[in-house]
Amino acid sequence: MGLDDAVKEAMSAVMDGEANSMDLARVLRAVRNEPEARQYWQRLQVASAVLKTGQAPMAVDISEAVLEAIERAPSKHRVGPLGSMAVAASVTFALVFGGQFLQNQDPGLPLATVPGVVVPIQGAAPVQASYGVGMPGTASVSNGAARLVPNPAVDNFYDRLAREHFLRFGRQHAEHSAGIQPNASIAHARVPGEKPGD
Amino acid sequence: MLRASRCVSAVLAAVFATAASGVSAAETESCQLTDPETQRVAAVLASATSTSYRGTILVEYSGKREFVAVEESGAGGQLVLRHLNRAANAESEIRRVNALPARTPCLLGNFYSFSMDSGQTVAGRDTYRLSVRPKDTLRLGYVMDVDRATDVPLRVVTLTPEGQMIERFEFAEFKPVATIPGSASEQQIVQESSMRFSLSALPPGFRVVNSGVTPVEHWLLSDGLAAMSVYVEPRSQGVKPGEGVVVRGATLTYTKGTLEQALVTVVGEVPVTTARLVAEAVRTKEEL
Repeated sequence: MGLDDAVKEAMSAVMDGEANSMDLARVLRAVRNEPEARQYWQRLQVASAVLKTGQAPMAVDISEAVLEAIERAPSKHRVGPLGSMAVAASVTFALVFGGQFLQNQDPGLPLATVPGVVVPIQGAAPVQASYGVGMPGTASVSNGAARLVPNPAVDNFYDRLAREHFLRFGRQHAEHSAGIQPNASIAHARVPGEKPGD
Repeated sequence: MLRASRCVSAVLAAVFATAASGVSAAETESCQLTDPETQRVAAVLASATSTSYRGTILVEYSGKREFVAVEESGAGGQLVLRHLNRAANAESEIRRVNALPARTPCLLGNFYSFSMDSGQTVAGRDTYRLSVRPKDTLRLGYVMDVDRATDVPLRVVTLTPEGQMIERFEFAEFKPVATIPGSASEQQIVQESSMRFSLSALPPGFRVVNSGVTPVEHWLLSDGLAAMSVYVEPRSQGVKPGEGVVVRGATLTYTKGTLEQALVTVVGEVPVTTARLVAEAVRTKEEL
């Protein structure tokens, strides 16, 4: 028996930060009772990560993490709209963070071997959009009404907007963060020039 | 290995304790670095704004290579550089380097693993290698070959949490010079009460180290190594909610139009997961 569409949509809403109290209650109930619901959430995360970075995150079992988050969240009948948002945030953080904290716990593991050249990855080209390529059947955050259906027009708009905002805010970010970077020159060396392709 | 339930408890505690007090529970634990590591990390952190030099840096990512001449380093609060591949006889660019609160190596040890080894010769100088590996997938990793004489990183490779290289900086020439008088520009901290938007939570280890309202409301968040700026402005009614991202080397720009009529842009050297979580934590004051 497949996962209910309403649960899928509610999960997308939580993932997108668009969940209302009904969405939240539905997700909490599903992840408590249905392993398939937990697996579906994990697939949403993987799909999102692939769309964003071209890389799939490491597979992790998040079932305990989800349940623990639920146990720690305030019960539904005690929270109002603002509280619901806080719970939604906590579940989202736990779902995303919980598995990740299981990784890299062994300090003895060697760091990835560093080859002599930079490895090109999807989306790592200079100011190249890596989202909105229209992968079918994956989660989209661009359309609240049909969250599992990508909306290339909106996604492409936001890709362009992100590019414009990189040019708009990148220099200020470099100034503010230069003292944090491993080498202060690095932050400013990264800042693009005025011409396309810089 | 930690059990998942324990990890989540720590994460949740860190997330909400950070939002409430600015200091996460994990950061109060004892130092996880050895004394030599602590000393080296502290020296590298201090060198970012205390050592002056001139040199030429090779910047490389995704097949793009660029040489940048550093005519004056940022120790005096100012950086003068020229992008040598952008124009013939490129003009010097003067950039600011803002002062930052002191960073503590022990706090970094809660979120990164450090290891030291002998490094490659870089720009004709002897180095030691400082490998910095994130303990979670919310921040990037670094491999640095650090100048033994000045503790300035001369070669910095940035890696994804999974270990894939995304950016490389390397000095082709490096010459320390006497520290140039001056002081780094002070970070501007705008009172949260004067801002329309706020952050309901922060990822573990990250703190607000700067905030402002120009050109739009923004915060600078950092865990001591990773940094991201969060810019928030009202979203126009005609713009539908959505998200987009562009990546240039280690710098990611993520823009999200939220249902709460906010347009959030995160610019920083963090994985997209981190940027997305921060964007989702933006609230208007009316929501809180």
